[in-house]
Amino acid sequence: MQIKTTTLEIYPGAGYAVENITHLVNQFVTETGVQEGQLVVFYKHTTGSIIIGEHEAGIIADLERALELLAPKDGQYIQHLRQIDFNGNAHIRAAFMPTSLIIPIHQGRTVLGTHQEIQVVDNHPEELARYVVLQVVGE
Amino acid sequence: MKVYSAIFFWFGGVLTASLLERTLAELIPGVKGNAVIPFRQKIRSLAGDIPLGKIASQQYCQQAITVCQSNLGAPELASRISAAASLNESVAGLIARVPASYERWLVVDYPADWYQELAARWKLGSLFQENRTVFTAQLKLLRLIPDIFYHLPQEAGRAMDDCLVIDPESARSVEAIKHGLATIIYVYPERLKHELALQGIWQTEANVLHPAASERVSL
Repeated sequence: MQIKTTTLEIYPGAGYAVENITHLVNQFVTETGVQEGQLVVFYKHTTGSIIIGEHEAGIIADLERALELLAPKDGQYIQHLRQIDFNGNAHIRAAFMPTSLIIPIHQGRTVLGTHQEIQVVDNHPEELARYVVLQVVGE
Repeated sequence: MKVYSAIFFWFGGVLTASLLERTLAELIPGVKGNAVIPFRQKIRSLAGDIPLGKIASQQYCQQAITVCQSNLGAPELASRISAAASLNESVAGLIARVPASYERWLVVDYPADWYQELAARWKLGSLFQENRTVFTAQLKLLRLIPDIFYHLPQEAGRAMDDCLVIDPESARSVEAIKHGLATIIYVYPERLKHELALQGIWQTEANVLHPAASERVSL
């Protein structure tokens, strides 16, 4: 049994941003040489999430519209009263989506379905470096 | 399935690395994490002036050097960016196999002089006819978004509905579709091939939409 871990550094940009990291994840899985096992993808932040979706412009636009209904960008958030940061909408949006995924590895690759892609969704109003931890367990 | 007549490929980010990434790689190669963010923001803003024709390559280099407090001279930076630039061969191979029934257009967001040098080196004339290359800087746009979404179909003499854009920038792609211009977000070559197959542009007998066992078909 092997356990291999790495961290991806990404720059999703300011505000609502969706980044496709499928190829980076698949590259790491290949490099580990693990044939059968599991992959954990973990997002290390409270203003964003890791989802499986289709990286298509229309879907990304629709997701933004749905998130805007849930937690508007210009809404009023009690968190802002402490006047440290003003990213209440990002925290609320992130709370409704996962910060980690488990994906099976079979015959040396992730068993993603036809249209499944691994995406980071972040809503932080400032542009910041973001980190995704990948951990493969298997043999 | 919708049928398109003209397919536009962005140069920076699809056929080669974006100007932003190439510049950062030359000027601040070791800077990572949040330390790189102020540089990214400033160089992105500068690089954004190029496709609008606001600055030329020489000014771009000079200002980028100032932003990054580099000791390089502007000509040296220009020559390094050009020398290190590489063609995305996989994408070029995909474009070469787009059937002739589709017009292939190239959208150039690099300085024209740099593009001409790279295009000659990579023989891009075999992929894109000269009269199907759009230099955004020559369009005299006040702003790239959303103006470019309307200008590209106009350049091709096509309705917006007849056009498909292969765009490396997710946010710009989303804005394009909101304005009615269809896009494929470019991430990596295999994915582009799959997306082109879904649109019926990449010819295959495989059922790419609903394949057996719900596994992405290998094309």
